[in-house]
Amino acid sequence: MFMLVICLVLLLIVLVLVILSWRAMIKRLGPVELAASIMFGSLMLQQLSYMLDYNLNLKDLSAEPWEMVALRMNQALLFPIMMTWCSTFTAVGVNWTNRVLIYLAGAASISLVMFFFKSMGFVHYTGWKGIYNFVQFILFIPLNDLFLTFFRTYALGRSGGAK
Amino acid sequence: MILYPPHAFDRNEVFIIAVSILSIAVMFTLKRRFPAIVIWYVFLFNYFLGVLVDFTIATPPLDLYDANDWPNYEWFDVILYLFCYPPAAYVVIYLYDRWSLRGMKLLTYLVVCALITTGLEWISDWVGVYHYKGWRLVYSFPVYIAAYWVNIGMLHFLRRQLKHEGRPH
Repeated sequence: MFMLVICLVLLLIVLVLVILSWRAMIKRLGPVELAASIMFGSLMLQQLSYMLDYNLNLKDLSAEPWEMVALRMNQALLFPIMMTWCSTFTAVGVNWTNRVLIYLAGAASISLVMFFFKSMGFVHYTGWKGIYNFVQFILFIPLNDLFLTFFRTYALGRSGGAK
Repeated sequence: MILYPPHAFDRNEVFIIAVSILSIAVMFTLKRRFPAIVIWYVFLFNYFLGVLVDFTIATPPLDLYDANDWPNYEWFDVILYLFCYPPAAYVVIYLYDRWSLRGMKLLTYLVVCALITTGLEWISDWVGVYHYKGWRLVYSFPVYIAAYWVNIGMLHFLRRQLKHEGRPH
């Protein structure tokens, strides 16, 4: 019970931080890039979840509908927003050391949230390991960043149609 | 297996390939009307929307339907998300923009588009693309109206932002 309360409080802190930083994220990235980044991150996570949870059976998700909804909300919205957080910091021209540190901090934060969910019993690993979450996000956050670069270059930079 | 191949290459796979080719062909046949960002967004947004909806209602605990040969995620699901849904949405917003529809005309247009898409889903169900386990075809009709309405909203959002930034819109 004590662990559950700690987990919920920490999750609440993450949610408050997301809400508080929302305006700053829009200001730094722009609404179009922000929405695109969240959608891309969400797509990556949801598809990976399909593959890992259902195709490979590496995780056993809770059968409780509300716990399932909480997990889905995280994969579809909260984690992609947290990944985009990192992009708001790397978008302002940081050197490579700081960039790597931002990626590491982002991956650690999301892995921590996953750890809370596991502690609360929302998910049981059946072949998956906690450290894999960190590896997964250390790959996904730069990939999301790369997508934003491509998006800015090819979608926004070269935009121009017949109209 | 990370992504499942089809159990047997039969009519549902042929249908998906045919619809994909036809949709992309129709998309390229239309005279270019939007900047590149709109095309990127239509693909990204509809891929996202398809995955989000399926991930929410076609997996446990709801598990209302399955797509294609396996209940798991397979290669042809990816083709379905990427090459069937987004081009259809592109054509819908293209014609909406071309005909500058407002009010009752827009509502009628959305209803007609949703009816056509529901008809296509009926064919998809018949050829075995979808397997309903609690879902009914009639439920899809309002979902398509909502999906196309959201797509039109997305076009307006993009235009507003591009105009605000002084880019071609």
